[in-house]
Amino acid sequence: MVRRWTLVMTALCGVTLLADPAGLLHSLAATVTPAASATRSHPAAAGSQSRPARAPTSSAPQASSSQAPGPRTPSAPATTLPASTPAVPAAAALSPRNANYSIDADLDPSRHQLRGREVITWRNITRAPTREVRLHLYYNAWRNTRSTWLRERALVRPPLDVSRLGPDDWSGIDIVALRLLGAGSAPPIDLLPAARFIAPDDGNPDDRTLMAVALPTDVGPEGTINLAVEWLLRVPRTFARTGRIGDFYFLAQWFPKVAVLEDAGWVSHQFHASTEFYSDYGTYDVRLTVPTGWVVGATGLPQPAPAARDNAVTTRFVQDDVHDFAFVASPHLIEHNARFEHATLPAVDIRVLLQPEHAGQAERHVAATRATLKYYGEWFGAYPYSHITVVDPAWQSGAGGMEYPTLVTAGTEWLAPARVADPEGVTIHEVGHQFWYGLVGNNEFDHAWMDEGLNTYATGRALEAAYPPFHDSVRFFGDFVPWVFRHVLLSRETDANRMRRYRPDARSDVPATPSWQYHPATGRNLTYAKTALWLHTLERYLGWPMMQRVMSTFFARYRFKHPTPDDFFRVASEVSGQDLTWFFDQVHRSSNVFDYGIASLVSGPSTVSGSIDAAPGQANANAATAQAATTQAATPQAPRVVSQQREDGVYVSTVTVRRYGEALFPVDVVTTLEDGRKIRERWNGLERWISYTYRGPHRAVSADVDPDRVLVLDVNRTNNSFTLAPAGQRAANKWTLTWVIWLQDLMLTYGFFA
Amino acid sequence: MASSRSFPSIPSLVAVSREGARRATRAARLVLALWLLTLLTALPLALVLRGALVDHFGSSAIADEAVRGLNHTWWDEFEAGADAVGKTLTPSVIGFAAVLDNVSHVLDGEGPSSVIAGAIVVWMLVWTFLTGGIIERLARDRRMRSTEFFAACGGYVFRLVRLGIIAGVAYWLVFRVIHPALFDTLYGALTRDLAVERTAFFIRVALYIIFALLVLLLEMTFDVARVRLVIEERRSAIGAWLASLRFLRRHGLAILALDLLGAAALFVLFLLYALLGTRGAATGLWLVGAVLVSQAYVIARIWIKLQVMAAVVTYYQQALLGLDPEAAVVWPESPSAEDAPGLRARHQPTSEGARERTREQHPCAAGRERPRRNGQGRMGSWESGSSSR
Repeated sequence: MVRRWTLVMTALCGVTLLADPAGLLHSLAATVTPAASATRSHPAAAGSQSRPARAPTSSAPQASSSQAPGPRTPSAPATTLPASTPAVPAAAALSPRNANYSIDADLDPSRHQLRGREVITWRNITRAPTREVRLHLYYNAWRNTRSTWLRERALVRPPLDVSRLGPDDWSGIDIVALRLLGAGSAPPIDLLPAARFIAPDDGNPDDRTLMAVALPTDVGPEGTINLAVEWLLRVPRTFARTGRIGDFYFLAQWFPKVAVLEDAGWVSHQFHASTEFYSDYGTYDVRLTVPTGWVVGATGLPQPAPAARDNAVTTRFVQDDVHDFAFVASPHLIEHNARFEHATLPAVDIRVLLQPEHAGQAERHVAATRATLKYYGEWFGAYPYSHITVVDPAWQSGAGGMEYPTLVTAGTEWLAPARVADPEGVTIHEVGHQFWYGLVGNNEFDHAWMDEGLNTYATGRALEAAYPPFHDSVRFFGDFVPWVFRHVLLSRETDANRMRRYRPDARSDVPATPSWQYHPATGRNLTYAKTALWLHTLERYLGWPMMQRVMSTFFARYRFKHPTPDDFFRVASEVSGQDLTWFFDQVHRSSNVFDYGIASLVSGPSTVSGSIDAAPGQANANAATAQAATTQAATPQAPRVVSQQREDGVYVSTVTVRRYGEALFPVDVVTTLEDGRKIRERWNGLERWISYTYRGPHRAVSADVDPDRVLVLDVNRTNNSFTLAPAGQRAANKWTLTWVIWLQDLMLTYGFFA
Repeated sequence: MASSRSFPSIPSLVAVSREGARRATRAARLVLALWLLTLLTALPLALVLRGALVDHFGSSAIADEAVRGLNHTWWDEFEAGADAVGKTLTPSVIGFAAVLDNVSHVLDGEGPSSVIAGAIVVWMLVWTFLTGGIIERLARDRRMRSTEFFAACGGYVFRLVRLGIIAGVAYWLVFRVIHPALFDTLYGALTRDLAVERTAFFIRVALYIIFALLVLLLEMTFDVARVRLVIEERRSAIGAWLASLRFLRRHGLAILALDLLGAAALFVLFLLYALLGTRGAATGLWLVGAVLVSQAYVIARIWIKLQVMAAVVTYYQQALLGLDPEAAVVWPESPSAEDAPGLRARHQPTSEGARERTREQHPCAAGRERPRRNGQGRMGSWESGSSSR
C-alpha cells in the first residue's frame, strides 16, 4: 500500500503538480479514498481497552499500513506512472507514522524563494477528538523583529545586529492555499478562511509561527485527515541554522508542519529562541527541485534517476519513521562515501557532503560518525536506518551543529589541527542526536534537556572512548589561526560536560521548568551542561554498567515515542533497583548547587589540659590543637591539673567537612596519614558540616571530600581538598611568572607605538 | 646619497642596520635597564595576581595540579571568582601563544582591559620619558653616566610628550576610524555573502598587511620625528613631525627598509621563541629554564627595538652629514647632555681647534646653528621647503 501510494504521489505531485499545482490539488482531492474521511470512531470510545497515548500499539504497523501517507488511489492504474519512477520498498513500520508528508519543493536561488506543495496525512492517535489542527510555520520567526523568537533573542548577549540585515535577509512563510481533502469525489474544503495565528505562550499578536486551523468536523481517535497546503517560502540569511549564504542553502523547518496532539490537547508552542521542535513520526516523501548541477543532501534515501527539466533537477527522497525533514543544496559540495560495519549492529552507509576547502577532513568526519554509530549502538541500541548524511556547512552559513533525522550538520574550520576536537566533537554530538532526538523523540519545547542533555553526556563519553584526550586551543587573527596548547588536555568531567558554562548560570532556572520558559541567555547552559553533569554524576554513583542498563532500557522502551522526564526517572529507579527520586529532586526539580569542601584539617601531637585522673587517658580535655605543650609540675595526688600536656607518640587529626551548597549528595571523605594510609568515611551530606577526629601514631597530611569525583556537579573542586603541605605558593609563583611574560610582551607590543 | 632621491643600495642599508645592531649591543646596559623596567612595570599587577592565586589555592591539593600545568578544572574555578587582573590569566598567556594573542589583539583592534591598559599606559609614559636619553645614547654611541642619561631624558620629555600626544591622536584615528573602516565595513562588505573561509582568510590577511603598513608608515614618521627632535634639539613637536615628513619624502624607502629589516629580525625571534618558549607544563628546573628563555626573548625584543632605533639614528646622522652610509659617524655631545650639571665643563672642547672640528662634524652643534634656517647647505639639499620650530 505504501508502495502504491508513493508511486501515485510521484506521478501526480512530481510531474503534474509542478505545472499546475492548483489544478492538481483538485485532482488529488478527487482521488481521496473514503477511508480518509475526517472522523472515525476510536476503539476507546466504544469501550475497548485504552493504551498509552503516545505509544504505538501492536496494531500500529497495521494501522500505518492501511493508512499510508497521503491520499491513496487504489484505482490508479500503474501504467499511468512514468517509466522512470522508482519503486520504494515498503518497510515494516517502526513508529506510529501518524504524521505523513508528501512534498514537492522547488528552490529558486535567484529569488531566494522556495515554492512548496504538500499533502499532510495526519492521524489522530490520541483518545480525544479534535476539531482543529495546528501547524507550525517556523519561518515566520524571522519575518520581523516583532516575532517572539526575535524578541527573546534580543535578551541574549551579544544581541543579533538586525541593522545589518538587508531586505532579502528576512524570512517568511506564506500559506497560499490550505484545503481539507474530502473523501471520494467530495470537493476539497478551503480552510484558509478558518485559519488564524495563535500565540498561546505569550499572547504576542505579531507572532505568526503557529497557526490554528478550524476543521469542519471532529477528527476522532484514529481518524485521519488529508490537508493540502501550498506555500511560498522566503529563504533568509541563516537564522537558527536554516537559511542561505551565497549559494549554500540549508533548509530546515521549512514546510508547514503539524503539531503534536496529545490526550490533553495540542502540545504546540510558538517558536522560541531557546528551544527547538516537537513532532510526530511519519513517512516523508519529498521531491526537491534545484538547479542543474547542484548537489542535494536530505533526510531519507535519494531515489535513483532524478528527473531533469529546464535547467532543474528533481530528486526524490523517501524516509519512513522520522519526525522531520531537512535538506541542503549547493553547487559546491563534494561527496565522500563510506560505510559503517559492525559485528552486531546493522551496516550504515555514510555520506559526507563537504565544502571543497575541507576535503582533507573527510575521514575525520567519517571516523567520528563511525565512532558514534558504534558506541551509541553498543551502549543504547542500534541505529535503524540504512544511511546517514553528514553535511559540512559553508563558512558563515550558521547552519553548523544541528540534527535532523538521518541528516546532520557538523562544522569545522579551514585550519583544523588534528588534536583539536573539531570536527570530531560536533560530529559525534549531532550524529548522536539520531538516538537522542531522532529515535527517542522527546518534546524539545518543554523538555529540551532530554535530547540535548542526554546527548551531551553521551557525546563526552563517546569522545572519551574513541579518542585520546583532545587539546585546548584558541584562535587568533579574526578566529582564523588556531593555536594548540599541547599541554592543556581537555577532560570529560570538566570540558565535555561544559562545567564552565554551567557554573555561572547554575541557579538561573529550575530544570523542571518548561524549556521554552528558560531565560534565553542562560537556558542552554542548563539544558546541555547541567544535564550532562548530573548524568555523569549518576553514572559514577551507580557505576557505568548500571547506568548503561538504565540508558539502554530507556532507549528501548521509548524508541519512536515521546517520553517525558518522569519516564526517564522511572526507568532509572526501576533498573537501578533504588528510588532515585531524591537525586532527581536535587538536579531536576531544583536549581540548588552542589558544593562540598574541606573546611579545615588540623593535625598535631595529642595534648591534654585540665584535670586529669590518675588513670591515663581519663583526661577532661578541652583543647587538642596546640603545637607546644607545657606541663605543670606534677603533683603526687590525683587528679592532677595540666595545661596542654603532650601525649608522646600520639597525634590527633581533625577534619571538618562542609556543605557550602544547598543541594545534597552523599560523599566520601578520605583522610590521608603521613604513612600513606587512607581513612575513608561515608557522609550522607545532609548536615551543614561534619567533623572527623582521629587519634593515632601518625599525623594526617591531607583530606579530600569526594576524592573520586563522583559528584561531577560540584561547582568548586578546589575546596574539595586540604593539605598540610600546600603547593599554592609554588603554583601562584609559576603562573604569575608565566603571566608576567605575557604582560611584558603586551607592553612591548604596544611599545611599538611609543 | 643625501642629495639624491635614489634608494640606497641594499648592502649600504644592511651596513646601517648592522651599525644599528652594533650600537644597540654596545648599549647593553640600557637594554637590561629597559628589561628591568618592563618587570617593574608589571610587578604591581603581578603581585595582585599572585595574591589572588594564593588566596584561591589556599591549602587545596589542587595546587599540585596547577604546579604541573593548566587544566580547566582549577583554571575555570579561579577565573570564575577572579577580578579584572585574574581574568587575564588565560591559556593564551602561555609561551608563544602570548605573542600571538597580543599581536592578534592589536591587529584586530581589541583593546586590553582597563586594568591592563593602565600598565600599558604607564609603560608608554616611561618609554616616552626615556626616549630622549635612549636616542642620545644611540646617537653618541658611547656609554653615558646615569646623570647624563637622565638629563637627556628630562631635557626632551615634554617635547616628546607633545609628540606623543600627536601620535596618540593619530593612532586614535587609525584605530577608531580606519580600523573599523577596514575590518568592519570593508571586510564585512567583501565577505558578507562569502561562504569560503579560506578566501575570507586571505582577504583578512590582505587587510592586515594594508593596516600594518599604514601603521608602520605612520610610526616611521614619529620615529624620525623623535630622532630629529632629539638630535636637532627641536622644541616644536609639530615642527619635528613635519620635518620628519619632509625627510621621509626623500628617505622614506630607506627608513622603511630599515624597519622591515627590524621586522624580519623580530619575526626570526618569534620563530625561535615559538620553538623554545614554555608550554606551561614545566616544573622545577625546567620552569626556571622556561622563564629564563622567556626573559631572554623579552630582552631580545627590546634589543631589536633599540637596533631599529639605532639604525634610523645612524641613517639620519649619515644623511645629515652627507656621509656615505657605510662611513663611521662621530657625533658630538648633545646640548641637553651638556646642560647637565657638571657636564658642561667636562665636555667643553679644550681648544678652538677642537671647537672647529665639532662644527665640522655636526652642523647643528655650531653655536646652536640650524642648517635649515639658512635654507642652503646640506640640509637644504634633502629637505625641501621651510620648517617650523
